[in-house]
Amino acid sequence: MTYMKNVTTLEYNRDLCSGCGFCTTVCPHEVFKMDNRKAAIVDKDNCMECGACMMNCPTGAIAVDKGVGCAYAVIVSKLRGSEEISCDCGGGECEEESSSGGCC
Amino acid sequence: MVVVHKELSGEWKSLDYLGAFRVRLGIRRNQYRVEPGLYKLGNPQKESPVLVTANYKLTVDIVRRAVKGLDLWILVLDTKGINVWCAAGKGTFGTDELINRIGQVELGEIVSHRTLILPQLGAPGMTPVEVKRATGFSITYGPVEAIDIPDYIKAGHKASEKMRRKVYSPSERFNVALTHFSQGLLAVLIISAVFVLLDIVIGYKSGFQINKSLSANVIIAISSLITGSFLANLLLPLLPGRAFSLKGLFIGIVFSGIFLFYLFNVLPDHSVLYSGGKILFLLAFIVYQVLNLTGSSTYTSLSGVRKEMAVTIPLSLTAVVISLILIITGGFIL
Repeated sequence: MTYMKNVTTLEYNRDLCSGCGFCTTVCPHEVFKMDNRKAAIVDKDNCMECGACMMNCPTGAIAVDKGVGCAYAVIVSKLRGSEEISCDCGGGECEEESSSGGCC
Repeated sequence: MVVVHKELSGEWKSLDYLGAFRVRLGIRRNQYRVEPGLYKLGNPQKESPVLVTANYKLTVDIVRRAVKGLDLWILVLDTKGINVWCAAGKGTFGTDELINRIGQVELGEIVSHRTLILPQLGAPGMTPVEVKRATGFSITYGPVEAIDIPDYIKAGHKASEKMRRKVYSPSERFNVALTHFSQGLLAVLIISAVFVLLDIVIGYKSGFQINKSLSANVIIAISSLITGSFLANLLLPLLPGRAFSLKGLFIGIVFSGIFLFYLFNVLPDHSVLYSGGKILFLLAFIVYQVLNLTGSSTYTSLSGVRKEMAVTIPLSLTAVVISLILIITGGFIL
């Protein structure tokens, strides 16, 4: 299953890649492959912006606006006026909001 | 001080099954927790592997059942009762919590090796270099699904390509739909009640039949919920379009056709505008539900969700306003 095309904020700088392969390991949607001892993006539209590749890249070669692809989270953040879009379907403190939520 | 480590079993008891079903209905899901800390599964030794997981009880249950028969340490992080993937996105299944928990349970004293096996979907919360620097432990990522852990360990801590990919299976989509369905029941109750009240108000002069109105309105409202949860999520790969709203619109239009016809048949006294207004409202409700399925899907991105919402939300609100105008015009003015 593929989501919308040409929307991801994923950026990759091959010059900074050390070839450790962490990004190919952590990506759940096969966006990266090793090519000639460096990582290469093979299917950008599969990216769900979870941020796993960026977090685990030891050389900062990957950048992505990490977030949850959850409409409910976007609505809740808008209503609260908060910039950050995060999954608030739990955590105890936000029990009331989460009881009607969709995610997690 | 001697630290006694709690033991976990690989078996599920009836209470575990009941609990899993309850949280899938969305009932008190945030209180379904396991105390964070280090647990023993089987009879682990100094050399035994250490699995790291979240303290959502269903997560721990799935892991312990998957690794039944192995001897392992299981380090449960405090993710406030949230599953691994969501908690990693939030950062609670994260670098800081892992570093703190390793220190708190004195993991370095208990095992002789320095390797942790994390679920692959925990990766969005982790910075392995920082964990290594602070604790000496190296992170390796196990498979996406807990069920593959035994094969992963047997293969010498190697995951196959297939174990690294997250799919969205029909059974997962069913479980997600169950949660969405149960969370939509209150909305269905309110919608049905308002529709029946409207019927009473416009029909009190003529021969109003409460039974007919009640059953018809409950049927269309509950059907719209079933369409927006079960039908939409099970048919997800088959519905046209990439945007969830588009998929929702498609299945919503099919719903509208069928139930508009149904309403004309069971409540023939009602005007086309009035019944059409109700159905249009439910169409918007279906689109909204399917849009919200993005959050529990396994492949949607924030950028994509924002893009589709920019179109869908104004359109849905317009549809709701038009539906109200139709209901008022058809029921009370004409």
